[in-house]
Amino acid sequence: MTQDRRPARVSRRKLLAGAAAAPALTLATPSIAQGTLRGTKLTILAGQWFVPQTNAMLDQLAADLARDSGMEIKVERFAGDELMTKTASVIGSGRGADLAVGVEFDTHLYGARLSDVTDLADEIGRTYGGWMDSARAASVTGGRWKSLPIGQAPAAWNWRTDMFRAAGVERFPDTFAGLLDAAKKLHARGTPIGMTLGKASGDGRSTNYPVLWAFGGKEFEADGRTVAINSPGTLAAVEWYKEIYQYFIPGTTAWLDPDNNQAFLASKISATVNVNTIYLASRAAAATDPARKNIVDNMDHGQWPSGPAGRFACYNVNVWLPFASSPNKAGQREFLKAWYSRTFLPRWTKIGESYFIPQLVGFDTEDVWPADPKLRIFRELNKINRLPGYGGPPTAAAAEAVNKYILVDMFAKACTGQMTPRDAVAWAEKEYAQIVRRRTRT
Amino acid sequence: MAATLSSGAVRSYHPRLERALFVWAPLAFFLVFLVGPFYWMLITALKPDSELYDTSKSPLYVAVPTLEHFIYLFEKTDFVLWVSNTMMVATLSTAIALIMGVPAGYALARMRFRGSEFVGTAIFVTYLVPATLLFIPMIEVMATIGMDDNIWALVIVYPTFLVPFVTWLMSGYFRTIPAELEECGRIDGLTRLGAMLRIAIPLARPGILSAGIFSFTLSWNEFIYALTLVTASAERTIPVGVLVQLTRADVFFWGPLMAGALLGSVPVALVYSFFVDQYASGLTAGAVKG
Amino acid sequence: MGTSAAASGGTGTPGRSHRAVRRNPLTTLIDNERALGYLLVAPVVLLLLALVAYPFFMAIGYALSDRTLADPGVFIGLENFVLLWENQIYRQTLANTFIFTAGSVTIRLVLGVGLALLLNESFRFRRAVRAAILLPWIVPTVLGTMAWLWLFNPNFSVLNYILVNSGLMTTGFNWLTDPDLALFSVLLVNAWRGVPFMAITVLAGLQAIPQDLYDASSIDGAGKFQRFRYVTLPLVMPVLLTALVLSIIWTFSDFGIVYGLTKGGPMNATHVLATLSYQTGLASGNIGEGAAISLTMLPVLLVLIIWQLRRIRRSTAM
Repeated sequence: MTQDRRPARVSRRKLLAGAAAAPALTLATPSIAQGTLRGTKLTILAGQWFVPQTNAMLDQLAADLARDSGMEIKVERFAGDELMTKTASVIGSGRGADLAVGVEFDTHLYGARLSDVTDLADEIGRTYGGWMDSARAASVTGGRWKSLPIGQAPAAWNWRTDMFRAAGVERFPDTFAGLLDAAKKLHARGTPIGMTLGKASGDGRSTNYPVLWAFGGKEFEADGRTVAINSPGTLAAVEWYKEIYQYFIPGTTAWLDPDNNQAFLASKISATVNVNTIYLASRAAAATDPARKNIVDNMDHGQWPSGPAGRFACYNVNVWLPFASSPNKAGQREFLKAWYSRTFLPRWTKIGESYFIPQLVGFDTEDVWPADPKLRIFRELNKINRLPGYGGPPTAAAAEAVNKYILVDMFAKACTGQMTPRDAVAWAEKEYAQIVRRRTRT
Repeated sequence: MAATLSSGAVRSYHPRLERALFVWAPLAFFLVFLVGPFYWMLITALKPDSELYDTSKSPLYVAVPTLEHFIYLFEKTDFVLWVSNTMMVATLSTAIALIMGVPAGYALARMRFRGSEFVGTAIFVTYLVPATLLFIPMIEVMATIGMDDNIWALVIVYPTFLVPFVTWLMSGYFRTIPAELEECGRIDGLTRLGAMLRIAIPLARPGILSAGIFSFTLSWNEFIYALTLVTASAERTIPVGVLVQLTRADVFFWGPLMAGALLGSVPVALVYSFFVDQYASGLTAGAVKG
Repeated sequence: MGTSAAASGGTGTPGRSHRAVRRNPLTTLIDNERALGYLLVAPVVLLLLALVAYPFFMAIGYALSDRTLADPGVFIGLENFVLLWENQIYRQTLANTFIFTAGSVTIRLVLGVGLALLLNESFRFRRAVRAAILLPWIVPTVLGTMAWLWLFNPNFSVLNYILVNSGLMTTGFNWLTDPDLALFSVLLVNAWRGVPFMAITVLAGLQAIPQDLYDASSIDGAGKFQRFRYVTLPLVMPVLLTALVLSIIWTFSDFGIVYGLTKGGPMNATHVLATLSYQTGLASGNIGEGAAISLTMLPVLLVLIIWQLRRIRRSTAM
């Protein structure tokens, strides 16, 4: 992505042309016009989003912006855990990159080392009908926006309609009791379900927090520092999990992020919690691969069941982290403006077919939703996200609990019989207490 | 060669059976255990994806071998760059480690100066400091001296764990060389330095070779620093490049991953197969007296 | 090793007696043993002071503070260590690390020595075999680990395929899933990497034993076992111990294998100090606590190394 010296006007016109009926760019870009960015550098750390076109669009945006502004922009890609390491080392050393794709916790972990982008956030909010609460929870710390939400990736119940039907279950269960009952029947027919109980940085969270919440359990009180995990609600959640675990496919306590996908694709399980990627990948391969076609024809996406306390979900959230150490603040802002422009963000959202959905209220009525009927449920799923740390905000302490897989381990310890449900909850309470104690020392 | 394995005092009446039992059977076990995973890597690298995830077929052989994963590796990733980066980093840091470590090892083995024993111990103790302790401060140190975020940082950092080992190994190796030879050289008019350069170091070649191969391997395999100190994809080393580009949040590209792992081991494997004898003997001699 | 007696006799023989001719200052410098000694050691000392000792003391500073990635923190004395000791995950990790090390090193030792003895026999294809068994030692750790991850894959484990299809088992093992088995699985992979090093080092030790010692013992009427017990073992012992100490050091502080296979799971059953330190220091951003965890590795390693150095000093002094 070397810089190109062609005049900025050319591609600006092209960009606008692509926007068709969209109103004029709300997010103005004065510094490009002034040419002050010419010759500056911008390094962006990114992961590999699963839907390849979403990565390609990021590259294209960077290339276009480089051409318009004269900035030299590089997008450096890392796999998930390594991206986290790399981001941490940039935070620690203040060198190496200007922007990174991060997760909601990063805002709260690294707040002091991130640029204040409150004005940008306000402008974006105005453009798209306001931010959802989960966006604010993800990106606001100390009253300021220290990151900008890219979107949330709704995780749905991926289920095999054929296997469920064979077991006598016609629709995806709408209650946890119903899910347990279905799991029993599916297990009896040799097509068990499987929920990730291992150290999977994505699925570990999206699978397990919803269960806790649905039974009325929560990690913290609203102040974010009083540990509230030891409650009858949590205990009920653990007991439900222990019950249903008997009907899982063996091995879920060691599942990492790829494992439930592989098991589902190999038709070894009849249901699991995942984003839309199993479906998208299978649909793409269906033309040449009859096994994948079979999966596409016989799978669907379902809502989380509703528990005694309600229906909740927990999605991975991606945000743009603008490093405060960056010597190119203007370049950071320019890139972010381009990302959230009307000509880019809706297109990027649509191409992912609800893989990532920006948490912007106005998107509900924008043309960003997939046409595929098997992906329709994601529009509903998009409305029920809660972030870890509930009933408080997703603080550094909540992030640490996620990174240490305390909730996952609490369920796993009870499921495998290593501890009684009561002991597992007490164990988790102790771990939470220690995290909070350390985090709130000062 | 000394026969030390077989049945001991009992005289065997079935030499072939004995041989099958005490040589070929254990050998088969070792080959399966140690080399088996490489067979599996090769098979995986040659299997088309449709076969890879088909549990109805035996996973132990390939029905329709394909080179698609290797082609992917060369065309869709920077693998060639990673190999040349790794080669450069490993070669340079090994060279630095030898240039610094061999004379230091010599000095510690041969010369008496105040504190030499303490220095020798201290150098080796640094070998114990785990990378997981050092890498975060190291990021800051490298940032301070402006050497972070490019591949040259690795050339500077790797010697920190290579040099202690080389020094220790070489000081041991030099002790196995009779000092009298250098004495003779000195009588013939060589300086102290000359005696080291002209006599001791040439004699220590097997030890230097071992230390070099060893350093090369460690640099070739290093992961934490290569991940944290380098950002650009074009400057990554093999372990980081392969892992980072071929695993994603929920998909591992097993075929190219295994192809990369195999090809990534080839250069070092070649070095070893040429020098395995010298490597082993140098290491042994040095290690015992180190 | 036949030369070792002569070598130790020659250690540090002063060069002064030979100095009869007058020299210029440079020659004096490179000819003065003390000055030259410092000169040769200086680059190493400087490098290690700057890039090991300095960051090391920084890390100690971190360990005594509540520093996070985003916040320099304040001095809190030994509180990190106190908290660690009270922490169940840390204590479990410490126990894991010892089991991991003991288990892996035992396998390395038994299989390594066995393999060395085997390779010391003569048989067809010996050279090829010797080169082949080195592969696990050569393949970059994280990539070799990926192969095992694939071998252990919960859904596609070829190991389980073999076990089930050969009729040995009905379901196969949950290699990385079962908390009791997982630690064994990761230490097995660690041992897999380490056996070739042990074998090749011990083999070199075996081959350095002069044949005439065996001949002599045969003349004295020693059987194969006695020859092993009284000739082979004592002579190979120094090499063996060195390889053993190195193996312990590497295993105790190993990071890549656990990181690649389980990241410490399931339920922290495979966390070792290095991975817990990494997870705490980077993923959770608690640099102080992470450094404290890594620091607790040092006492064990130090005891080992002091023992090793003493042993070597004693043997060279003989």
